[in-house]
Amino acid sequence: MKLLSSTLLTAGLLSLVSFPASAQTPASIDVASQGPQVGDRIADFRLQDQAGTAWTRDSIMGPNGALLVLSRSVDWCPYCKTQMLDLQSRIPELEAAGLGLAVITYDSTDVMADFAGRRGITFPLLSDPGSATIKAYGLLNTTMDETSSNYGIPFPGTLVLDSEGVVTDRFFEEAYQERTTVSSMMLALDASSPPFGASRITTDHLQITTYASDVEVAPGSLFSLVLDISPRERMHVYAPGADGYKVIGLAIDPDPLLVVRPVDYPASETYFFEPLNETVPVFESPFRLTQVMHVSAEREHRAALAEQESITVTGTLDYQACDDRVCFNPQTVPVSYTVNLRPLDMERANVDGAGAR
Amino acid sequence: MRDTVLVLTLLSCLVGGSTVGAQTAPTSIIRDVRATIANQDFAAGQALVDECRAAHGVTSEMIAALSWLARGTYAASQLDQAAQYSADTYDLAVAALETGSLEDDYDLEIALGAAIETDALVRAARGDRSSAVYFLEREIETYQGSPIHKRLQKNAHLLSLVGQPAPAIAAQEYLGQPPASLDELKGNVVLLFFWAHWCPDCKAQVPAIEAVLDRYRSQGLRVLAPTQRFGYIVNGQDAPPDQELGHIAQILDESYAFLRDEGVPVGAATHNRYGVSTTPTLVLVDREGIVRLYRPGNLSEDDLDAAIRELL
Repeated sequence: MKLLSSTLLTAGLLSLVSFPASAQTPASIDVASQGPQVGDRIADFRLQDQAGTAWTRDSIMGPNGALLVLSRSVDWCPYCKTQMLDLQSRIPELEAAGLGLAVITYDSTDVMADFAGRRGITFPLLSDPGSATIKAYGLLNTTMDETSSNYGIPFPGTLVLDSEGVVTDRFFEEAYQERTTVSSMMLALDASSPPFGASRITTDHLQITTYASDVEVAPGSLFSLVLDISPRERMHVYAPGADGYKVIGLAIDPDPLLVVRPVDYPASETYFFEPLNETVPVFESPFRLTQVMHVSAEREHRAALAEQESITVTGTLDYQACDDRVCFNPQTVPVSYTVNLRPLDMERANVDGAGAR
Repeated sequence: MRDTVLVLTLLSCLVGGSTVGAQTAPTSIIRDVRATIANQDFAAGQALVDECRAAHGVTSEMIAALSWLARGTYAASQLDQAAQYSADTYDLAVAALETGSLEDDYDLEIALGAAIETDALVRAARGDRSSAVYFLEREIETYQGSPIHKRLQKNAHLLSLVGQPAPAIAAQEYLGQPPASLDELKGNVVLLFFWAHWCPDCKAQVPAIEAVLDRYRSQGLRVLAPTQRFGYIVNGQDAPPDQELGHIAQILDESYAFLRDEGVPVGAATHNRYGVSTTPTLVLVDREGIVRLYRPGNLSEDDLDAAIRELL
């Protein structure tokens, strides 16, 4: 592995250093069906961390449970290492939510110690020799060749556990580059702290507070744009399923550096319009739209991303509002968010046998 | 600099607290915020309000000071800020009314009146005249007979087109027969019915219009029903202009039978001239071509009948 790295460096292909050939293509396996599901209690484990301390399922728990992160490698996987930096920066938030945190990888404790020392990681990085726990959980990445040095890695993702070790939520992605940020997870879990640096927008029909979940993201980090929307007195806007109306929606301006998912809508209310005996799905009480997206992790965009320190996401909130007497013309409200870019952590472990196990 | 502002603010708030209800001498926080507005330094005004609120919580003086920021930013054509200050003032004032009253609290009266007025002025400045008038009329209903009633009434009248010559109807594009122009219709009473293909309230207005048209057509009542495109059709799907026009024709056929013999002008120009951003909007034009009613929102058959009868 080290030989390969040197060869590539010599060839000037620096960006390839951290990507073993067998990991180039995202797995085409339905990761949602892999491993413990919501409602399952995970099996116990006993694994050593970077300092040699042994941890179990029960000992990682905070008062309200824990995040158990399955990660590919803190040696050669830049997305994984970068995610560790996000996790470290969010420890106060996790503690406030009463959540413990541990990460499992197939790396050796030496690799763990090297990475933790280099990057100031204080939470337990648990070494799973022979990937016994990863296999027991049914999360072994079976697309890896058994002879490959990458064999033994899990499908990366996060299990949210209650204090009994029962899975209450899962954040697993199809693409190996994608990781949900802690802030975005906390939003999804409805446990986020009050926003910092949110913008307020007032229209004739709505009061909108909007912000990005993260101040800083790396390529592949799944983060969220949040729009907390309060219709003004007596107003409603149209929700998905309202035929013939402009349903409220967020349209993000196309940007090759951004990968945008569909907007996440809450459950709508039903509005009964007596004169026409019509019912229509609307939002009338305060509601939240969440737009998950990530900065491209595609190789072709790396050069462009390397040149910028931040990325600005622009778009429009489109909606149509009515009250009990009149309807207002469809509206388009511009929105804009700027998040700083965190470079991927490309540095390898300085340990004998790293990556080859 | 920041220390100076803080000290000034705390003094303002303290002095302000001792002069509640004074009508002639503005309380200190209000005076100080107005001074910042005179200098166009809205950030300093905002800082004064914030510090005052942090030190003493929400007071009527503080809300009134905020309402001055709404007025000041509006006067400086900073419409977004004015809308935000108006909305914030409005929310705080309405909350304060749960324990106070407009009759007993002059600062609150000024604050709420200014918030509603500025909100309406911002809408009108953005070209949404009907939205401005509609908003004022709803607030007039809420604050009927209160100390701010007259102020709101005056604004509603000023912002509507009542008393002015009716702007021409653009009819370069239309459905059905070529629509008659307002000039050609002089001598008739004309009801303008601004509607939209997606608008449920417009459909709900149909029976009342049909009834008055049946009743007064022979006495010279005519209806013109301008509409416009919105860029989409059913399911909110974006649609090219031709497809949307076809959709409008279909809705017309299905839900607006009384318009079958009338040409329907299509296009945004008429809406812009009348400042119509809400549908339905009903406008009555007298036999001389002067606007006599400018009504964003529905009218009952009785109210519509009464308004028309006055002009026949």
